[in-house]
Amino acid sequence: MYIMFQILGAENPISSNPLISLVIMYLPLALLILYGQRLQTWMILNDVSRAVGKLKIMREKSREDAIDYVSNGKKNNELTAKIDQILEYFTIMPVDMDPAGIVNKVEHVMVLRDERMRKEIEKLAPDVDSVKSSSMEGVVEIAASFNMIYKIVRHFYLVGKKTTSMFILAQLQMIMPMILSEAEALNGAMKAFKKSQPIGDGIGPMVVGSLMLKHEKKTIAKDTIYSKGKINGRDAYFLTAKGPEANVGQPGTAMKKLVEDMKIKPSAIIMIDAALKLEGEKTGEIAEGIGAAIGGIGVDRFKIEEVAVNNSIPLYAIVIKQSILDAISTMRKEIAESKDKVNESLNRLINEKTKEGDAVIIVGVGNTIGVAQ
Amino acid sequence: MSSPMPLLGAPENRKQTDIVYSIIKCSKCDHNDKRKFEDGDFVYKIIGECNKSSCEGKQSINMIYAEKLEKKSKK
Repeated sequence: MYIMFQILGAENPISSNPLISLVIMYLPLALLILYGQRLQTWMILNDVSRAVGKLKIMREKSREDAIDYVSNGKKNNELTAKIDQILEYFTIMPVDMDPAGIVNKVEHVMVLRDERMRKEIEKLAPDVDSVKSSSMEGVVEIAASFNMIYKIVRHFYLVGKKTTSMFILAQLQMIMPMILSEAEALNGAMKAFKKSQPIGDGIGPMVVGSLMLKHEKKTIAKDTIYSKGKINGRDAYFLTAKGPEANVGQPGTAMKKLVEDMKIKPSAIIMIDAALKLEGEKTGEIAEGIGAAIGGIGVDRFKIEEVAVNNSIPLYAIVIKQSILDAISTMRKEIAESKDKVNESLNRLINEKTKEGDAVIIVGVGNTIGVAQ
Repeated sequence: MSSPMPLLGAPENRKQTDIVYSIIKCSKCDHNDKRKFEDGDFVYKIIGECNKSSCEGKQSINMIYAEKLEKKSKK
């Protein structure tokens, strides 16, 4: 306390020499005014540097995991070089200056991208079954995502460092918790895909899959199947991606075929999907709503909405809340146990919105890894 | 890479280990079994006959989920 009084000059001056007192009191202040921002930049740089290091380790680990998984522990230089090449693949999205017809262009590019990845994996591991092959695709996609995240973050880190721009670095520091959360989620996904375990996003196909069990399954679009059955006296058409392979299918194309080619006139389309929860909401909580419950780039949602509008079909949605980490990691108990509650909601919705003898299309949206029908 | 300083803004470390279980259910008597996940398991996979001698139903995997490992209480 005495020292503080001394510094503040409340009791005795620091020194009998007023010049020394002035230097002790005002020099740090002047230094902070002149170099404060640099000090702050240095601190942010240090913080971001550690996060970039963490992302680099995650990237390297995911690359190693992908190589080990695809090579089944017998890695060689040729396979390693090929995986490294796949990790660098990029997709150029169609030009959107004239947005008319862009959905078909986006679909074309995305289908081509998926096909290419599938073919590459088949070439690298020709003797594995379809489940393992689709898991390999997932593992390599996750490693590619890690690679992309790391490279983008490193780019802004290096630009910030080169220009000593506090503004670039501060923005990077501010979004870093979100980036690290995404990376954590990808880590969880890697574990699930390596073991072909169902992920949180698979709850929609899990609910619809249980309804399809006793019915004949027919392919309707790429990696997409449907069955016809009865629910409460209604003709029910169940639609989902084909499991237990890691597929999301093409529910948009399938819906178009059901309604426009097969001339089914449903009184309602009910979509069941996982939805990202807001902080504070409980994992596994169920909510009902209106509209096409489907994520992704938007191609399938566009097609389903178009079919619904053109044929005046009401679209209902049941969603199961979960975080991004839960959605792509092994399914949590709370999510799996929501299945019965979803079934209750589905039955109630069918009874309330349709009449006996009507047709209804029920779509299970999500990744079918580890979930059969 | 461990650092003596906590990373500002980083999400809390998830050190909790998850155990993945397969829940097996009989189609006839609703008898439930819970065992650790095994390679090759998937939801709705038919496992075989029901364990109960009186039941002739078939068992299948009804759910697969991850559960947090319960921490042992300190004595």
